[in-house]
Amino acid sequence: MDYSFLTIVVDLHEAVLRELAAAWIDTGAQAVYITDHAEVIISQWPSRKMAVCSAGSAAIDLNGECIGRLHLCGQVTDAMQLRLACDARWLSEIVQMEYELEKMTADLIDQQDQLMALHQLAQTTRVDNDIQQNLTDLARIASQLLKTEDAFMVLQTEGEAPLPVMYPLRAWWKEMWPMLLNELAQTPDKKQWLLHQNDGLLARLALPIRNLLVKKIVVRPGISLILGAANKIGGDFHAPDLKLFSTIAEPAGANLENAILHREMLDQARLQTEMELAKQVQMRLLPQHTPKIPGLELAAQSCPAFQVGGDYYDFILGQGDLLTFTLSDVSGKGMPAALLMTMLRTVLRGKANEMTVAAPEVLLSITNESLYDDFSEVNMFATVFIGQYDYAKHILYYANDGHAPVIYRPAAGGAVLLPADAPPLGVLPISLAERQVLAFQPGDLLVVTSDGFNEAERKDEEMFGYERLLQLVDQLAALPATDLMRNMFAAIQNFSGGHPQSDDQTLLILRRMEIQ
Amino acid sequence: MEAQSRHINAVQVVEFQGRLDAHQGKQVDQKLSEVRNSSNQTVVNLSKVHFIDSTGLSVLVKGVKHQREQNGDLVLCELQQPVRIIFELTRLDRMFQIYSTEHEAIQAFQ
Repeated sequence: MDYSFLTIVVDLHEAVLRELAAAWIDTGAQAVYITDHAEVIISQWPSRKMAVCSAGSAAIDLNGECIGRLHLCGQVTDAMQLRLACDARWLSEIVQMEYELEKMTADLIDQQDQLMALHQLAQTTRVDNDIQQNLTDLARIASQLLKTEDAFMVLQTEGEAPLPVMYPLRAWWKEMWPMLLNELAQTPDKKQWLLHQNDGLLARLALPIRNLLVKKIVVRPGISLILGAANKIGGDFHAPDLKLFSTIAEPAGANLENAILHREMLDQARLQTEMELAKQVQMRLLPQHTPKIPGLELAAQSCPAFQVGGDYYDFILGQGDLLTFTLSDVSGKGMPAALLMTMLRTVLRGKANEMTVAAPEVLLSITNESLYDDFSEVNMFATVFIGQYDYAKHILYYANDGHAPVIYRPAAGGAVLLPADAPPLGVLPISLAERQVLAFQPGDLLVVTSDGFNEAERKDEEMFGYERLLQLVDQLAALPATDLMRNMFAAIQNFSGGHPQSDDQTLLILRRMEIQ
Repeated sequence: MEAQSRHINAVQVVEFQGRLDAHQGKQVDQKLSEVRNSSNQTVVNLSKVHFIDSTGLSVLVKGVKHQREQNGDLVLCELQQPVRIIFELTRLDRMFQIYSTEHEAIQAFQ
């Protein structure tokens, strides 16, 4: 009970009470005065200087409890005592009304505060701010609205390090926030909020925190926000603080979610742009034209499953009558494979350009030596086929580190697979590939593809396979190289029947022309 | 990806089921890492694996490299025909010890 409230009411209604006292004095009373619950005089009439002595009194009540008395001095008759009791009741009514009004006003002010809080939050939490800035803004607003010396926010995202901010930033925060969160995590979390005021937990923390109000909200599954306000200015936290705190927390969570969504959209857009650029770069790293070699038909194309891929083909016109060509497939898919593919290209091209005689096995060996450590480090490998075609003598020299399928179709016979003789590049510290030699006759055909061809799947998971691939080459062998290539891609697409391409598909064709 | 592992003497036998591909690569890698922690001798039984792609192969290559660095080995057994063909075509059969039966594979460590 707020006993000082009677003093406020007496001050507020002093004029009316003076008239009431004057009426009493006119009808025979010597003086009128009011005391509080401790019988200390609050006000008296006609003058405060006059010594008073109560001859009769009546209680002034608030919420059924006596908070003071109305007194008369002088001769008090029974009739006067009755009238005095009536006046005291009237005064009690006024006190009660004032009390109700005060309470309503306080509630209105609370609601006003909460509306202001929402407004400020809406103004401050901007989607174009970064998340840390938003958290700092939220902490600042929380400390202003709750009238606390400190406020903090910790954003917890599953699988990521928590993001803690404090406003204003205190020296102890950086070191101590994990301990603070750990302590709070021990507290039973049944309530909507946690309130600690001068209790064991705060003593245990030994931080400059007198009182602490904490609330955890789920921003969205996997992301939660811990809001904390500490050190209430001028005392302890009270019920209105808790209400206000809840009012701040909910929209803060919603606004933060918007900011997170916005950031994710930006990240996504940035990633897409970067991937598109990477795709363009990678496509530019593949030969833009197939070289024109007398007596040879060449065609090649790569179609990555994602924006970028680990397949790579190249034609390198070296010194003399030597055309070096390669098709390789880095294990895995997407960006990691693409990065290694560019490394492989750089090393291969550099070495191939220096060569004057055909030695594909040496090229593989040197490349393996250069890249083995890097490939091992990231647990990847690459299957690499390297051919070196002497177009003066029409001899194909090749070496193969684990690549399949490589299909040879002599003009006189059916298509066969040329097996690799060594594991992929990056698997062993040395390449075991040996030089193979094949004399090319007019009409002989070499088709090298990546495993995206034989592993192309239908909806029922049936794969295209090596047998179908060999048959396809036999069927299409009479076509010019570019038509053969186009038809092979079309056949694979037709087989898949709309089933999404899951692996990069690359094809390289070399044929010795029939008519010289 | 279903995977079962059992201890036979000092040898850890792991049996995968289904496809060893880019989608399952991470789980296969985790399983192999787990068994590596308890033994440097691993037998991978592929009798229930009907497909393996380059990601699956690279996980096995990582496993064998690691075990050999620890003076142990990772050997394979009971390869289905399509999987055996992949090992032969990529010549990874030159990298791995491959056995027809699990018993033979375990014996190889004795």
